Amino acid sequence: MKSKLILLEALRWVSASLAVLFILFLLGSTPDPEIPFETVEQAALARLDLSETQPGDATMLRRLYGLSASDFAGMTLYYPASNMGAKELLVLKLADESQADTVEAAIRARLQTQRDSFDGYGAEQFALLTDHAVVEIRGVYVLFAVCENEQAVRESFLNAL
Amino acid sequence: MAFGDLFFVFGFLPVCLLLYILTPGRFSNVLLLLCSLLFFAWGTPEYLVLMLCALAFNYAAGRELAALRDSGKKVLSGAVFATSVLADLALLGYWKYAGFVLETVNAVFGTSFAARELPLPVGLSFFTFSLISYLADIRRGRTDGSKDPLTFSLYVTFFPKLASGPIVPYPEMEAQFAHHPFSWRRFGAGARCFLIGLSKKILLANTLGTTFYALSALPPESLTAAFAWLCALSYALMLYFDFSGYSDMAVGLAGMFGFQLPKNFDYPYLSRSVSEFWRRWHITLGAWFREYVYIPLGGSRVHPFRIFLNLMAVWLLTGLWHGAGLTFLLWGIYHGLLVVLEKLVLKGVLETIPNAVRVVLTFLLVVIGWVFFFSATPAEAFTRLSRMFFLGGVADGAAAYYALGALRPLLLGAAAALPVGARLGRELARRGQPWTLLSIFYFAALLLLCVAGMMNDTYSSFLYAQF
Repeated sequence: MKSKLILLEALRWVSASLAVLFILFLLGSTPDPEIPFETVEQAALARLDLSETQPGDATMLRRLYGLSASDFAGMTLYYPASNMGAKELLVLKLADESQADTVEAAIRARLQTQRDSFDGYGAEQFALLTDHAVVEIRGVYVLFAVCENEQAVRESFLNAL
Repeated sequence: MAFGDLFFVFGFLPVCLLLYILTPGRFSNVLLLLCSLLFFAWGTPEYLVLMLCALAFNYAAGRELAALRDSGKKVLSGAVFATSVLADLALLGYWKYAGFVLETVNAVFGTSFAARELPLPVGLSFFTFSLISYLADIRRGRTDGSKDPLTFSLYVTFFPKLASGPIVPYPEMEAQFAHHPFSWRRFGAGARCFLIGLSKKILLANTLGTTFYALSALPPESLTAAFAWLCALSYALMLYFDFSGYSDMAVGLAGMFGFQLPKNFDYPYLSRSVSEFWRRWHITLGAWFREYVYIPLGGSRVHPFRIFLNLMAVWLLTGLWHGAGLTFLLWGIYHGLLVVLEKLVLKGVLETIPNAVRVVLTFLLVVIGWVFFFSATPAEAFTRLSRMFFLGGVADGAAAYYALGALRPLLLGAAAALPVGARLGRELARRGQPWTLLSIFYFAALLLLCVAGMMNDTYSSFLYAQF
């Protein structure tokens, strides 16, 4: 009886300590939410060729992604300037990280809609959307980019965090 | 992954069901546990470590409590219980309240502490309450708890109830873990319940959501009474269909796997008092607070002033459970005061009022409460309330235009919030075969409409998943 209780108490302490260590590890690997949105936004924009795109506002964010700009702490959107364009950039700062799933699903839905639009119709755009799209969520910062050098944009975004 | 996703309905669920049907009975709990852990880890796989730690911690605490209780060591048992509940609450507190606490500290002391927030683990508020009730029930001798760690883990993580309840005490599920055979009859009833819930979410809540989000985007200061009421009414109906839809889906899913979960809603907007409303809205949360907070505090068998304090404590906690923010606290206090008023002041008076009047009054009081619930700040809530009570004029042309657009979903929602449909369904089922065929077509049509809705909608999470 006594040894069983000692064993159970040990299990309680070990699991509680592991949970604390794990939370500390998670905190260590999460970006600082105090990094200004402008820093992250500029880092992503610096590597992007903005030709063939136009800046979007809250209405376009709602129309293209079904998201409300007022739900976020920061938003930058560049979307195709013509119907035959596929290049796109979205940088968001979430109000809190619980929004991450919703935002990711909205981005995936947007990407799928774009792919469906060009499937069997615009081979170049379809390839861009299939092979050169990147979605990155780190802490409260979100990047979605569709462009030829999407990895460079991603790296620049990550370096800013 | 949410119950309303195409992937869940046509991917995760059918695969789980198929494996469940093919798996021999003695391994079915292991399979369900694996499915549940996969469901939990879907969006944030790293949290699996956290869940496994919580399971190990509480399993050990449960076994310890049972052993100490049986050997009569009350002090030690109390210490294990208190430290375990505190640890569970610390986990919940860190994720849900650290930001709020730091914001308050910064506002009061002019400091600038920043919380590094992490995504909320799926169902944290719900499984924490399941864990606390599990430990409390062992301590009080209502159950010995589970000796089998797999059964205990399945109780906590069972995916139909993991994300947003119902919150079921362990003794109510204990026997079901030993015996939950698959049957086509139960499967059919579960599938019907799931589909009704899915329809509530996709066809009603999401449609009402479009109305609500359009109206709530207008600056509160510019609202006329008509606009402000339309906004609050559309939220009241949206929230009801969103959460009761989720709960129906949870009950239906559990039924498909041979389990029976309690219902969480019972036409709450037909309640004749606020106290009754809380016995019909989120029934299992109300029962949890009654069983594990209100009664241990002394319940109603104490001095009226203590009853007042007990009720206010319960309602403050209920408000805080829904979210870390002053608006939720105000919402809790508002409901607490209404319940106190009914219990201690208006006890004899309410019975003299005709039922229809009581239903309308209760509904209006609840809708007023929802304004605190959906407003971002107390100032916004009070501005909206002032507009609802005519401080911004009665109506204008724009309100009439919006009202016409909102009329169809609001009327549809109001009709669906009544028990007429369910009664009709039961009556037709009783009449036999031709009506059974009709009901098959009815459910097939519902499914088609839901699929169309799910494909058209951008992602829409369940509102209660954030609480």
